Amino acid sequence: MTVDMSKEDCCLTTGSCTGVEIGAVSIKWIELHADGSCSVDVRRHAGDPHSVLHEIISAKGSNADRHVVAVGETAQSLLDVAGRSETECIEKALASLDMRPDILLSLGGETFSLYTVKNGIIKNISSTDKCAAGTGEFLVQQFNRMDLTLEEGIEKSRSGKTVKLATRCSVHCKSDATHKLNKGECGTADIAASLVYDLARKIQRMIESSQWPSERIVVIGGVSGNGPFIAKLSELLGGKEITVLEQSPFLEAFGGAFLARELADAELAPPAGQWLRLKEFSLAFLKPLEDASGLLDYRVKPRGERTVSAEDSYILGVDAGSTTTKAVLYNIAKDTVDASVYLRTHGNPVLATKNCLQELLSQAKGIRPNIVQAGSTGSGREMVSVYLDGCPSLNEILSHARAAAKEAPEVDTVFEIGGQDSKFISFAKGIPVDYAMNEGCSAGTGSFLEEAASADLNVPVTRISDLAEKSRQPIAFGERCAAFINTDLRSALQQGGETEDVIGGLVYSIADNYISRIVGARAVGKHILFQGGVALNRSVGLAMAARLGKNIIVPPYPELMGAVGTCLMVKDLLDKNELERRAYRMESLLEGEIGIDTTFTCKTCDNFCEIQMISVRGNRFPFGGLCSKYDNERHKTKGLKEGTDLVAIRNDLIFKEFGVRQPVRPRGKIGLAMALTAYEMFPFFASLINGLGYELVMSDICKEGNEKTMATVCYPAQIAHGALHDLKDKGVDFIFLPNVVTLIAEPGFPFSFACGTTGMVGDMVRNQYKHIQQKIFAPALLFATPLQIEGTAAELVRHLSPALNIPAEEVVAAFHKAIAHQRAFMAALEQRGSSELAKIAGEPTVILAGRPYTVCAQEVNFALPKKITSRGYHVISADMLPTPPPGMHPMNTWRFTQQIMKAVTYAKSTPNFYVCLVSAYNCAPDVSIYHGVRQELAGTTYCYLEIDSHTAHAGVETRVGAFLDIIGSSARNTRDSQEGRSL
Amino acid sequence: MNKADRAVFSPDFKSVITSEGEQVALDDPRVAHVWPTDMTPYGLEYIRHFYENRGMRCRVASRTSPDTLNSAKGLSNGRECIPVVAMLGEVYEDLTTKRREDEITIYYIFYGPGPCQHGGWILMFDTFLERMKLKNVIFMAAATPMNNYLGNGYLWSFLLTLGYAMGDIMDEAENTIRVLAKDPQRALPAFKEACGKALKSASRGYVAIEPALREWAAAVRDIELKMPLEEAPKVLISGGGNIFWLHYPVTDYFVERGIVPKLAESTEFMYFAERTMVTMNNFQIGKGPADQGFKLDGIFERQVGHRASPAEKAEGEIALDVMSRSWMTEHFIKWLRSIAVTSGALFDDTEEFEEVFQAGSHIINPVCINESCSLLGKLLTVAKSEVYDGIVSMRVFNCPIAGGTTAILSATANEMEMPFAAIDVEGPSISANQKRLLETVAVQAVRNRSRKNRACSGSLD
Ligand code: SF4
Ligand code: SF4
Repeated sequence: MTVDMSKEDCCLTTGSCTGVEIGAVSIKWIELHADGSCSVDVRRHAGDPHSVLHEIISAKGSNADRHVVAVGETAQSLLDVAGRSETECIEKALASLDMRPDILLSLGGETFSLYTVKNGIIKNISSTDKCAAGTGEFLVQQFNRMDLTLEEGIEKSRSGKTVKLATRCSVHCKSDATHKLNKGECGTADIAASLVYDLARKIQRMIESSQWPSERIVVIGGVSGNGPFIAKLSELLGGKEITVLEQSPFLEAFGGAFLARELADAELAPPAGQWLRLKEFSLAFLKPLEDASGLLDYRVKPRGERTVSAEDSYILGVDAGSTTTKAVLYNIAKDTVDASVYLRTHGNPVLATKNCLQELLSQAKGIRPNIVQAGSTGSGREMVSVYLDGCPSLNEILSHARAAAKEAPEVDTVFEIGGQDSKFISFAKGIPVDYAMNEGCSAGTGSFLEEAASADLNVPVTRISDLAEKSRQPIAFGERCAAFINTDLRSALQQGGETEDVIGGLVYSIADNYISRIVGARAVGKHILFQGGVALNRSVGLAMAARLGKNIIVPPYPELMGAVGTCLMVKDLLDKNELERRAYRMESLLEGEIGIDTTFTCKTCDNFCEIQMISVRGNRFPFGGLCSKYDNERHKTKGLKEGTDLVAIRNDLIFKEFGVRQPVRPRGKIGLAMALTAYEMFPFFASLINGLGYELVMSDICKEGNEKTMATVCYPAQIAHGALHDLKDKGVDFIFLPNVVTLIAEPGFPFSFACGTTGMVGDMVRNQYKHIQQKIFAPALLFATPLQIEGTAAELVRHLSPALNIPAEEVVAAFHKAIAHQRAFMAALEQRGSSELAKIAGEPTVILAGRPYTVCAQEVNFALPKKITSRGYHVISADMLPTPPPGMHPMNTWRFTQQIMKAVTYAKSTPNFYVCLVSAYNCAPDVSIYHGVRQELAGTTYCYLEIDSHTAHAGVETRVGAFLDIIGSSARNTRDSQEGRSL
Repeated sequence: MNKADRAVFSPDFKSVITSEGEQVALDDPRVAHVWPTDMTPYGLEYIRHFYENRGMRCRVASRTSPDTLNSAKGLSNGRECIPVVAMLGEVYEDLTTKRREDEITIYYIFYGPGPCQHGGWILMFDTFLERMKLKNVIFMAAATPMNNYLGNGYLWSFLLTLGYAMGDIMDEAENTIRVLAKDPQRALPAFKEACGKALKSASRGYVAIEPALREWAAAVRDIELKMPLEEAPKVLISGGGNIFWLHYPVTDYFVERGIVPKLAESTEFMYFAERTMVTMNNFQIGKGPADQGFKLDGIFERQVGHRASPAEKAEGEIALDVMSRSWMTEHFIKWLRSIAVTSGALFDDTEEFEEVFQAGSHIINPVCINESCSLLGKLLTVAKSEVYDGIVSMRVFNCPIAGGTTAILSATANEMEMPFAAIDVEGPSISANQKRLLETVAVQAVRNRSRKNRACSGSLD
């Protein structure tokens, strides 16, 4: 490509000036010639820039001009020529083009950066590089997966419409897109258009959070050539001037070439033959996987001939996961798996189950197995249960746990890696207590391994283990996003890495990804069982053992543990006579379709769930909802009485009985951010605002606003941002978002801190919404001691009196009234708690321990209270429990961690009370007590949920479902032992 | 094993009662005093000498590395804030590699109540250590006014603070030497030798400090610099308590590029932790942060006032103690710097802690008891002064306060046009992309400095 630069003032009389920049994906080699023209050479380097540079330089010959500048760190590390920073080169290029943008967006292959610019000078930079989702390379990969080149994909996107895509991870995005395409929900043009749209949204958010003028924006980097993206971005940014320059794809190198013109003699490059530095091998190596063989107990047996017997009785087990469906015929008498199948779910668990049945039938080779019961598990279990004539539908954690415990009774940790799902289960004294699964990221899943091995190395999944185990020096890739690993692999191969070492490294990489992203902060025990389809690869088990330095068992059927566990649970129920034998015929199960007849809205509670009426073989069943109401109806759960929802009672008390009393002739409106401590201090806030003569306007849920945070904050703090975003358009005169430092202390507690975030959230948000800063009240509120309360009164006078034009005495009077109102609420809550506790004494009850703004807020709690009560248990929030006995750690300084420990203490000393701890991801106070809680509750049944803005309902459902099932079975066990039955 | 099996201090803190119930003096050869907190290596060296001069065995933390953090993984869950994980790693390494079998070990880790994770360190350590089932160990020994500074009194603790102050001074000077020494190969060992000598003699007692520091300054002044220190570009590395464990690669990055980095001071961090008590006191008696919130007279007012209960008066006495200490600290640091500045290796002039705190309080309320106020204050004062040419803020994903503050910091830096980069780290290492962010600050810092230099020399360019 040649660009005419004749309008530029080029000082060279002969020769040319060169700028070289090396990005994650390509090399940009720009030469400015004496005649004012500019030649452009942009080449993809596929992870081996050294060879590409060698090619380019060799072609130049020895007489190449010595005015050369290497731009940025990578180019400087490879070329022995003068170096300049990207910043300087961009500025030079902008000056040469007479551009004065406010913002310069550099959108490259692996990173996006935003430069704030003033008068052509770069002021600051912010950048993203953690995850590939939405970068240029991500787009290329997604297009390639649809067999489109980048250019074709971009072209296609012009005619597509936007659909909702899972663009958080490249592998998930691919399967979501494939799924949508297969189901005919949309076409490739729509997928392309949606990818482009998501990219534009991401950039829009980056621009917003820079808080920098953005009237004139220049886009550079590879993505700048994406016309539809630029059009979408312009549309989203409405009215801003967005410029893509002819030089945008290589602006840094272009600026470098200009700087090369100014090089002093001493900085001129040596003759071209000496430009390229010696190739440095940057590969680091790891220990051979075999070194960990002493730690691995690999029990997988060769899959020989299995026969289904006509004489024996079987249980059919189906594990309908979101990506794969597994089914087994379990021989009850022999305790063997006589037939099994594993195939893709493709978004339709019933169809997948049908296909599984077909395959099992063919494995039975004409024998009609005597199936006496069936069971389903996995995310599609309810639907499959309907399809299998209402067979038991069993929680997947419990199914896995049951199979794991049979294989290794002492197991305390289960790792599971499937095709696109990964899970982690942790046990305390045999009871599953912690559970995690990948949500939105595939880097720790089988598809990561499979795709990486097949795409660049042409190694089928069946050969991975052999090759990896042969490697004497696996290459260290570390933990890596699925979209970036290919570049690393290519680079390793080009640096001379052997295939087996690359595969060995890849295997280590999946272990690293799993340990870092799925296990993350969770406690890994001493007895680890590794299961799921990926565990069939012995090498991955070795990598896990090597990384953790712990013993690991791989069971005989690692890929079928869910289905096998289901059969074992069904067998347990049969043995205990809790389930009757039936006679299933596979042929008749294959008959009949399943379909949605109608839908209706359930109005039983405020969640207003959409319920589907499903019909199968002439029967109709209600299906769906956040709670278990309709599951109960389908399973005809006998004698189930809904539990008491004390959370609803608490919410009535706080928001109705002690809620707003709007003034008849209000002085104006004050908006209250319904976030964080508003769920504890609402009576105070309501009374204060109404007492000052203002109407109180509560914020509503605002998902869009939740995304407007400028920093990584916990989910509840995101909601505070959303609340403000919502209130700013609600026509209020002022907004109240205080910095709550301490809360009213419980008797006997010297400290009652909220947390570091709540103590500054008002100031944080005020600084973000500068244009309405004057309207936002963000006083510091402290309530722990009488003196703090007095100080708070003065603080409120300082903040409210001048702004509202209300005399100080009036503010103080309203404040003291509000405090009294809050205390009255707290007393009423405790009293109500005691009277309700007396009514439910001895009955199974779940204590929701956590902050009121997580456990009592509809936006955050995933209808947990209703879910629990619909299963027949009572539910209570920790703040309704009586004051704990002395003995709590005196340095437990936060009010809400005190309440969590109160719940723990109460549950430990009260029969049939169980703790469900709900925390927010990255919650600082909870991190401090996490280990303490685990230690205290070890051996009891409890549930730990961690929520962030990406938490999916299915994940919560699985975890809570397992917890409630365990409570149910222990309640049954207690009843059985009371009745003298042996278990 | 339960807590009762651990060793404890005797009620007067003059000795240790072992797990077996034996009373052992603090200078008994079996007792080891261990400081696992990686806050300024020179400060730690002072502490080691301080104990040794008093006939006690002492070990201090080594430089935090990814390995240190890794060794903590067996005990922690990784979500704890970096200082906890790092200290746990340090403690773990100490226990497994340095602790003698017959040893009675005291680990000095500061803690206190507070809304950030710091308030929960003691809970975490208690749980972890419960699991390790160790005998004859004291954890979380923290000198506070409530325990009369572990029974050692006010002066003892004050002398330790001065050790940290000297550590800060030497850290700053070391960076100058690393970047500007004409002959770094010879200069750095000479510098370290001078520091070692000064720290050893200064740690003998209050009267030894001044001559030691003067001698140090003279020795450092003899190290030839290749250019005047005022003309060299400088960046400030800040980020709250985390940075002491994390800053190494960022410091090295700037040193390698000829830019003098300065780490926010450990004493500044300690000062703000203490000074919060004053602000809190003043808040309680109705004085607002923007005007009266920082004034020391509020505490006297409260003590003579009639509203406080006896318990609150007792609390006031502690606040009085802390206040006078922080007042003294600030003044003594100024005094130390006035001596040390003759070395020609110091440059930071934003030493008015109170000014910094007050500046920050216009953006973040100072009673929120976290570091945000001081971080912002530092940015604002630094931006006004001519000393620095750029700022880097380091934050860790599991410190929500650092996260929230950075958002305001970067917006404020943008507003003030101060070259600024915020980088997220998970340990003492940085990625290639983070280097790009640092590069932008580096380029601007160099440019800013040459502009300032030209302005000073009267050039009209
Ligand atoms: S949560 Fe349950 S009861 Fe409430 S609307 Fe949904 S399905 Fe109906
Ligand atoms: S207590 Fe936890 S969830 Fe609540 S604001 Fe603080 S960090 Fe967020």
